[in-house]
Amino acid sequence: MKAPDFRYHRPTTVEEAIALLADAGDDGKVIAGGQSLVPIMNMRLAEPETLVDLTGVDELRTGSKTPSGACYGATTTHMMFEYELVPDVTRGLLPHAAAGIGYPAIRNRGTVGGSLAHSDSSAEWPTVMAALDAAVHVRSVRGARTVPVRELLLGFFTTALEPDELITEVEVPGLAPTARWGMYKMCRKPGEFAESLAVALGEAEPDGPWREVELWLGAAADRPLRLNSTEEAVRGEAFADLLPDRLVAPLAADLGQDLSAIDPTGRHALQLHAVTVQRALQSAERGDTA
Amino acid sequence: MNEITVHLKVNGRPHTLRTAGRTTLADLLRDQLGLTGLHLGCEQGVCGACTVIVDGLPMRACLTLAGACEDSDVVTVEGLDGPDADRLRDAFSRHGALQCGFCTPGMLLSAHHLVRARQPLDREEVGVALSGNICRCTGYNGIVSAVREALEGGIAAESAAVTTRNHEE
Amino acid sequence: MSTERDVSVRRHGVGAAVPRREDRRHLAGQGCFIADVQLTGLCEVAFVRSQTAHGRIREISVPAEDREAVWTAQRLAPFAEPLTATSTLEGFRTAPLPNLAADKVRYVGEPVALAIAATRAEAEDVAGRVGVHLEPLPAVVDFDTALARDAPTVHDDWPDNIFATTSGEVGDVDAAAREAAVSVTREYTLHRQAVVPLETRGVIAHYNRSTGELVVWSSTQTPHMIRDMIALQLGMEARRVRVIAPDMGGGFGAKCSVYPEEITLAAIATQVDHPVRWVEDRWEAQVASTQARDHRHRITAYAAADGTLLGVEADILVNSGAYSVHPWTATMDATMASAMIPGPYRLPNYRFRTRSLASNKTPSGPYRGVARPAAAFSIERTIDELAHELAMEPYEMRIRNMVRSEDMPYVSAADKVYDSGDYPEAVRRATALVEHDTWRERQRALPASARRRIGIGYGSFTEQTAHGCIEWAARGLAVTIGTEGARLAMDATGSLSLSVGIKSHGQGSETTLAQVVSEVFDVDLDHVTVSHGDTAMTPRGDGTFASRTMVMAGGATHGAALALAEKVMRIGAVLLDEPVQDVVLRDHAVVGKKGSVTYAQLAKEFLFTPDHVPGVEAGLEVVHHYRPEVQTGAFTYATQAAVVEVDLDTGAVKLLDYAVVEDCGTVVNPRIVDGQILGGIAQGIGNALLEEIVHDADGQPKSTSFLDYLLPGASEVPQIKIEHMATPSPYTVFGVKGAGEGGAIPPPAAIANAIRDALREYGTEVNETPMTPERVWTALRTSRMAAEAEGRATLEAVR
Repeated sequence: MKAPDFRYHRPTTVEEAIALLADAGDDGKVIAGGQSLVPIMNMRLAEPETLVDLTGVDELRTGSKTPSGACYGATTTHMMFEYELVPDVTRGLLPHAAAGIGYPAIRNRGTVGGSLAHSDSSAEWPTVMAALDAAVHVRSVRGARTVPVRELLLGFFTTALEPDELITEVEVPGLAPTARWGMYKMCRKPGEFAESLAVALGEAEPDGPWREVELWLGAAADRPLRLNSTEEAVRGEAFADLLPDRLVAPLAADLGQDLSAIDPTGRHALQLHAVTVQRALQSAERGDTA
Repeated sequence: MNEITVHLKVNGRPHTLRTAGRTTLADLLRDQLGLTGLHLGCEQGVCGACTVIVDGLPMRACLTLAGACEDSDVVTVEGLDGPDADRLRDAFSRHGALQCGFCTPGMLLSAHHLVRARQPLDREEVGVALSGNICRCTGYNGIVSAVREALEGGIAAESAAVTTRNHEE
Repeated sequence: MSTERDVSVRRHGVGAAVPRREDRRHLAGQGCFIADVQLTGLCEVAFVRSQTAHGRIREISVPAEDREAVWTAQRLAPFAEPLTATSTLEGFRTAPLPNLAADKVRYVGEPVALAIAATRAEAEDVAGRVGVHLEPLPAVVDFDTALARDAPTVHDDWPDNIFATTSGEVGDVDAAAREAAVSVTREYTLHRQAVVPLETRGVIAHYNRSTGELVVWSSTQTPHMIRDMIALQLGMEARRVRVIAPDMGGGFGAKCSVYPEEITLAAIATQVDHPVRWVEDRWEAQVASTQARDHRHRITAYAAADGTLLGVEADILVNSGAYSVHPWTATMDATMASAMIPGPYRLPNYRFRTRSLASNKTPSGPYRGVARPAAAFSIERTIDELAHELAMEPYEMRIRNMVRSEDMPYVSAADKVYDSGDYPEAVRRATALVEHDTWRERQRALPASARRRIGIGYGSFTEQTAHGCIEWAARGLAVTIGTEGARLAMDATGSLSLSVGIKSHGQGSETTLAQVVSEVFDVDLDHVTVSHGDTAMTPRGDGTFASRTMVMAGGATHGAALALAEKVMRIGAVLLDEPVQDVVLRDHAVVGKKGSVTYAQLAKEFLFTPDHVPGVEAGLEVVHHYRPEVQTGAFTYATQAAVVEVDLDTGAVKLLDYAVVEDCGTVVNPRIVDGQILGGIAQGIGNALLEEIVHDADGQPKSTSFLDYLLPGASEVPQIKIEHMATPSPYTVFGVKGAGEGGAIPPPAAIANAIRDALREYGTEVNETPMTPERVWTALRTSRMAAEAEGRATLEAVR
């Protein structure tokens, strides 16, 4: 189980990196932490001809506040979010999400930009960053652009990035002081990929129902999903009434599933999503997280 | 074959190595430096048998390219020493924290990082912190006990040292 | 043979909780596993394996520049014969297990070709260029498709997909049925598992042209058996074959069959001028190492109103995969299941039928517990259902029906001789150890509105360990394993070298066997070397499996030690000028009434100047072969108690508490025995809740990486309480019984019974493993919907 042969470059500046990527053409690939890419290369499910490794580009491993939130270099590791080695503008959501990613050794290498570029909807960052309406700054020799995460993620391992483009930064808007957030990751064992992953963001009455709520679900489709029907069902409802059973039908609508035709495996998956959404809402209510 | 040159420090010794660009840190350490203490159990980053310390942090040697370790400082089980390591090794043996020994080096390095942090942990927290290290033999009870004992030993030694210093002052 | 002994006599002897001698090298990272071995000129091998479950090979294409590096069946054929694992069971159908597939592939992962290169990465590059052109055939995957009237056949010349059928009856089950107050019928399925030693398999082969010796390193539990079979398949005399098993990262049964890779690499080594090595990668390990479970049992059981178990009927199906493996054969699991379903119970009437099926899955082989986790699941779940029918506490049902100490030795319905112990007492103690009543209170205290439930469940078993030849013969094995050799030598410095035919691979035999030597010689363990895993250095032995090492190799070691000790005492008596009956062995010396002589002095005197010791024949070395006097084995038994919490919303199961009361006879090293039990339970938890090789309808395995084949981690195994009963077996040296497998046997049963208990208000049963959240929640939902429908029907009727 060894990776196929490839040309390996480890530039030290973004300029150098985008030039290498442009030269590599369609068979070039960016590697940062490599925690998702190396396993699939080891299994020879990915066979890039050229790898451009960003771990030598120091300018990409930074984080700073901006007037509207914060901006994180693409190779900021999960661990740096977890231990707040970069500023948090989400009142704990980013550190919480980071702490749930894989195992400690994975968090020490894996990066936020890498996770977004990998676009696996059962990972934390795609759903969390979509929920926060974060955007990525992208560079190539052709120029720079900003892409909202909600438009970046097109499907499993598919993004709006061109082969010569590189994520340089992730810009995250700050959460309002009154905003509540809740997140729940359903997984069989600590460190596993999520079977379901929900983020709830919004405004609620103290001890009362949700005034505004936005719900995002990962691991249910090929990209994070906004749960419009479920939000409808939740809005104005008291926390205590939001049992999973009540969320199943609107969730099925959001996922485009026909409840009358669903098989047991699909039905259980739907149940897990309902419970995950409920627990995300509950954790928002309690002001803690799960 | 695309070759690269890597400069890195392993267990305190500097090395300059020619290797294939696709070589992982695990294969570099095992095949070119003869440091076979780290093991390959899955090459997918799950089992943790290849865990080594890179620039102070536990990492998967099987998912780390050798080229990415340019100028890095790597510690493997062969170079793991000091009072925390001694405490851990002793506790591992007394608590039955190893049987076949295959996961042991990776387990020790992950555990050593926890022990060094001096953050008190209950059984459940130790379990979660070690969730990335699979042991197929022991059933983990001994590993968790050993790590907690070494952690408590480290904390006690440090407070004893502080007390002694305070007395001296 | 006396089992009476004073355990306090020897400091490092039998019963001492000495630290393991193996630990030091592993804690320093100085273990030497097969992938760590360094040899000049060593080349690496990558296999080309079938990606299709069933297909006819049309062509294997190899680019011209790779022809030297690539081996196919055609190129290999002149140098190695395929191995056929036969059985003496009536009607058993055989099929050769190809070294490399020639005409058909029969499972995903079957080796088709291999490539040799300087590094593994380059070997994979070459292997990737080999083209395998197949005509796909319909795959035989599950029980139903294997048995279907129009099923495709895995082996072309077979009329169906059945390796063998066995059946039997003791007593009169029909009469029991007529007498019974209650009966239950259930179907239980234990899905397929991988074995997953953390170190995968691996082989190195090197042909030494100057000595004509073929040296094969293999991560194997059975080096002597591998040596024999390599010699036979290659047509060599075995004297020219040496097999070395270095440090091993576990085995658990996956490393004790003879594999095509061992034969193939050995054959190729004789044809190339460099050593070759293959190290299985994780994908290969998940498809090409033998797998386990894949049982379906249909059980009907009958009981009297007072809870007395009257009869059991079992119809046993085992999906054994594509081939029968040597030496265990494809019927190993089915015959073991039929033998062990009677369990620890006084069961007068028992009828069974087994069918072992061929399918397009990886061949099945031994895995810790061999069929007994399935047998225990069936009988233990059934005992609970009978108890529920009779409104009894399930543990009371067990106590009522178990074999008691006064019944020993007890001949079971399956003709097994249970040798010793008090089975009901283990249940009583387990209820106390787990604090049954406290958990019952907590269970009652949970409000109905809670989204979780608590349950307590028990699993009991009795396990045949360390059985002799007749037991293997009864199961149809062509190789009837049953002896073990040990050689013990004292050298001129008075230190002791023990060599044994077993292969310790995590069990700590370097420690426990040295303890046996120390039990006789009263020496520090540092003075005893224990060699194992090298056929050139050790007397013949069968290997480490079937919970046999401590009994068999321990027995051999003890025999060798007693014989050598007798001689050492005679030498000592001569040197001390005292009668031999007046001397004893104590603290590294022969001690007489008047004086003493250390082993170091004695050995130097005897070996350097034998003429100083008149009347004692030459040599300080003894070989002893152990064969159990009673061949029916020593039965280890236990009751395990699990407390679970079931999440009603998700079906997730969490273990809150776990307790074991076990009896593996005399305990040689309590630390090591506890380690075996804990490790076994962890694997049993994996079996119960996590591990499954899932196949799609085409026979494609879907859980072939650790990303989707979930193993228990530190968070999944609770703190486990263990209590030992330590009733010596009358049939073994020191009264030892095997301890290696028992831990893994009842966890699926105990956990399933606990889930049943937790969900009893809904009547939910989960009768297949692993009991995933999906299976638990779906079963709960189904039973709730059924109850609601019944409720509605009742309401209608009332109206």
